[in-house]
Amino acid sequence: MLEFFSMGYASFVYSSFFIFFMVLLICTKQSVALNKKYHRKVKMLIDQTDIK
Amino acid sequence: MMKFIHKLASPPHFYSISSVLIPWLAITGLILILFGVVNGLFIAPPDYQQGDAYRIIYVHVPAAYISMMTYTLMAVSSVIALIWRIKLANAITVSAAPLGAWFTFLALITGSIWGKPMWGTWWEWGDPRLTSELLMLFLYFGYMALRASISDEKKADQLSSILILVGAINVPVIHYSVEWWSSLHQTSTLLKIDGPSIATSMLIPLLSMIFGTTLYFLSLLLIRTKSEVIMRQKSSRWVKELLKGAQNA
Amino acid sequence: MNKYLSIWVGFTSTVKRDCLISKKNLSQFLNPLLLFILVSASLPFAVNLNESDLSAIGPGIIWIIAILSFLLTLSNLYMHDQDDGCLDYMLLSPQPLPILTFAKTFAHWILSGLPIVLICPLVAIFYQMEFDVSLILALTLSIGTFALSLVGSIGASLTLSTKNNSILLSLLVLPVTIPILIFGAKTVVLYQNGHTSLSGFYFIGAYCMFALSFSPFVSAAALRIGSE
Repeated sequence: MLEFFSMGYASFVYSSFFIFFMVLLICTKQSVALNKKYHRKVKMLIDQTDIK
Repeated sequence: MMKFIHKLASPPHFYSISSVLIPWLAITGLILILFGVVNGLFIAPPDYQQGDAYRIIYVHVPAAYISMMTYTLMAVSSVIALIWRIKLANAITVSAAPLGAWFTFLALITGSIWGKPMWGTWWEWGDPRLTSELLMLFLYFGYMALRASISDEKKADQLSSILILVGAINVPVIHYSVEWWSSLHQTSTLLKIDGPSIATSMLIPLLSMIFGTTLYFLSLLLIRTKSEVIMRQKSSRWVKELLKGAQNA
Repeated sequence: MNKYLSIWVGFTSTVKRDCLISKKNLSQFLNPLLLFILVSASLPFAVNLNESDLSAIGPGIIWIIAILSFLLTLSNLYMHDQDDGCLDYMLLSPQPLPILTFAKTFAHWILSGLPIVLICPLVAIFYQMEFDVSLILALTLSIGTFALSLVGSIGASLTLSTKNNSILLSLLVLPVTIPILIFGAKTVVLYQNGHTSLSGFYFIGAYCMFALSFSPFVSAAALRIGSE
């Protein structure tokens, strides 16, 4: 792995790939968290109306 | 086939179909991305002119492609929502906006990082493609800001759909800006009539990255749309039965 | 045909009404103009540049200050009419709503854009720009502010039902005005450097025509949706 640091402009290339995966990770986390939040909210609302 | 499409517009069917699709899309997308990254970083040969720095293309092009594709997707679903009043289209537009904004941001950042070694500058105001891509980021932000500030959900959907359509002219501007004006960007290499003008060994990881990122993006879009659909349809029976079933299971 | 129902009468009466309202409320008409003059006058103090540099940045600066002070008046385009109920009359009137929105946009340009255009040769003196350059600047601004009125009316109609809408309006409209800002300033700079500025005028005119072709209709559609 170490010999690949001898590439020219290595820091640019690796940092852009890192940012790419970071953005994918953040998007995934946000989407899953949104899913959970909405599920919980809807469940709560349905339970509230069902008690009546 | 038409029956399938009609079924898709109904929220409960959309929910069950997308629940099946999401893991497949995500896993296939990730495999293609992994293959593309390994191939692009280590196996593809260095470029004649740019050396190794060109490898940023393997993240920059998918990001830019998806940013434009998302906006087009939002424009199409806005039209479907405004004209045919299919409620699912509104959910898709809302869910696609944050993802589109993230990928536009990614395209701008990776492009800027690529620009530093290539053109010597992080940013170039005279370049039409950079300015119109930045404009598209502002359009995404404007859409999300407008939606957030209108309290009535139906009005918010319709008015922000109009906003998306007004800004839709920007997408062809971004695409053709390299042909209409002289710019630092090169003209298109992939969508040419007599085949792509890029070496096959470099093309394969690029295509793999493009397809993989698109599939993964679609899986994220479906996750968000699913949540949005449940939220919008919370007073309907199928949602109640779905959540009751999940509770009892 | 009853002359009170004609499109031309609808257009002119809306423009006249807006001018009369603004005559009563002169401060609303003068304040953006004063802001424009004040901000462009204070900028040369903030940057200590020599003559030639000032005249080089002058067109762009004056353009952007004009856009910003223009944007301040845009949020009121439909809001006053909504407050006193006239918007509902406009929605129900026999004239096509796009004609009325275009009339309001045109009146807005006369009341807010033309004063800026008329004052800008004076303001150009602060930036040591020559008179003929300032005339070209005024010409570009006249078409530019018209296009801005058109695009701004779309933004105003979209943000009508939100609270605190002037900031949101600026947020929505500013990105879309970037092309005309670029080309407006570029036209004047081209003229300053001795080239012909005709190509810049073509672009500004094209942008204006493009905005004209859909702005009244989109504003009308947004107004109808907003007041359902």
